[in-house]
Amino acid sequence: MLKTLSPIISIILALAIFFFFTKPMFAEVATIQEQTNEYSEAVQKAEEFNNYLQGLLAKRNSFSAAELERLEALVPDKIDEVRMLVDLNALTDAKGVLFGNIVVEESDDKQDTEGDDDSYSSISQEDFNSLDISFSVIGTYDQMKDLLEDIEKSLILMEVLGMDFQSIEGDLQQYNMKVRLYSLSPTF
Amino acid sequence: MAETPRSSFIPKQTTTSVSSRPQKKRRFNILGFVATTLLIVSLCVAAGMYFYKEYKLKELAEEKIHLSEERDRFNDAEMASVQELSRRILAADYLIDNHLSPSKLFDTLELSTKESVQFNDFTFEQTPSREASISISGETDEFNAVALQELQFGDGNNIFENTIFSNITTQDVNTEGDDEGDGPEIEQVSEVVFTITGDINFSDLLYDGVAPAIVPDTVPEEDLFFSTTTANTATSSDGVFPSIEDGDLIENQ
Repeated sequence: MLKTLSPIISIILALAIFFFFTKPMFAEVATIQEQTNEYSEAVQKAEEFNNYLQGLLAKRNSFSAAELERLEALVPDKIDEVRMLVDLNALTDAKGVLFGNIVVEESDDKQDTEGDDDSYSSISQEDFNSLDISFSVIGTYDQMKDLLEDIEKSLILMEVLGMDFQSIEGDLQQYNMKVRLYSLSPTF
Repeated sequence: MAETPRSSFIPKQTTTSVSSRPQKKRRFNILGFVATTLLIVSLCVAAGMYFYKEYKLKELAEEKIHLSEERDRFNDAEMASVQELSRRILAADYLIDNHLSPSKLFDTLELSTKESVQFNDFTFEQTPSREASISISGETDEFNAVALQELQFGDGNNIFENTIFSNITTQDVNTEGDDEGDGPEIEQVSEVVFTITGDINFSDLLYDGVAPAIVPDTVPEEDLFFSTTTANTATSSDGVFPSIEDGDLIENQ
């Protein structure tokens, strides 16, 4: 009797072990494997990112303090109006022209740059705050051209938005200019 | 008839003696074998799976530790400083690449203004949609010069686009003539005044730190069927825009 039952019991036991122990554990291992893969992928990405960041930091550290300072002057966080006017005055003084009729106003017209170069897809005029300075200078044509070239080359970027003058008798003429200064918008 | 004993090599009762011993017949129990094998395999797989699970758990724990280490390596402040630098560089690139150099306008005007033309009113404007335009008023003493100037601006070799010459009118002006001893003589001459409006090719006006290429006087006289006037570029005595000296031109080239 026992001899007849023992194979049956063995089979039942084997099936029980498989279905109640091995199979659930197999599913559990599959889940663990899935989690391990996810973690492994995350580790790999984190490692790549950290290496990339370290590369960027190395690049950042390769800039000298003077270069960083120049960059900050080119695109400041905030425009110092008074300092700008002092600088403009010094510039016009250096060129020997008279400087006056100054009007400073916050600019609210943002240039539409949609559809421009793809390399700037993440940046637009919206990312800048701007300040317009209108002023007049009195001097000769050559002085005005020199001044204009200096303004164009200025480290603190000044965009000449408009300019007008009328020729009158004599060498000295009045030139009216409007320049725009940019600073980074805090939201950028 | 006497009976003769029969002899035979066949032993008597042999079958009885063999059959009398109990025969042990071994039967192979295939069901038992399969069942036992199944049980053993099942136990082995279960044990293997248990150890494999332990191994995988250990592997998962290691990956978690690695991730935690990578997280610890990450520094918020460093990230912020790199981001800040990146956006500043991007912004600087954008501004520089869109930076205009209006002084090029004057260089071009100096090179392309006819000798007998004098400009006396100049307006330059950048519109919000990245367009630049100019408006210039000029005067000359003959219509031919206006036509020549129009051809010079419209030949596509300079930075002006869509130039329109308008408001062309004549006006009489008094000028001082030769003094022949009895006081200055007043002469009345007729002048042609005109206005030029046009757009400026934005890309040509972009700042590149380089002086503009010299535009030669490209309008040949014979193109003007009504002109016999020599057309030259302006000199400093001709208008408000003084010309660049020859030496300067060579330097700029």
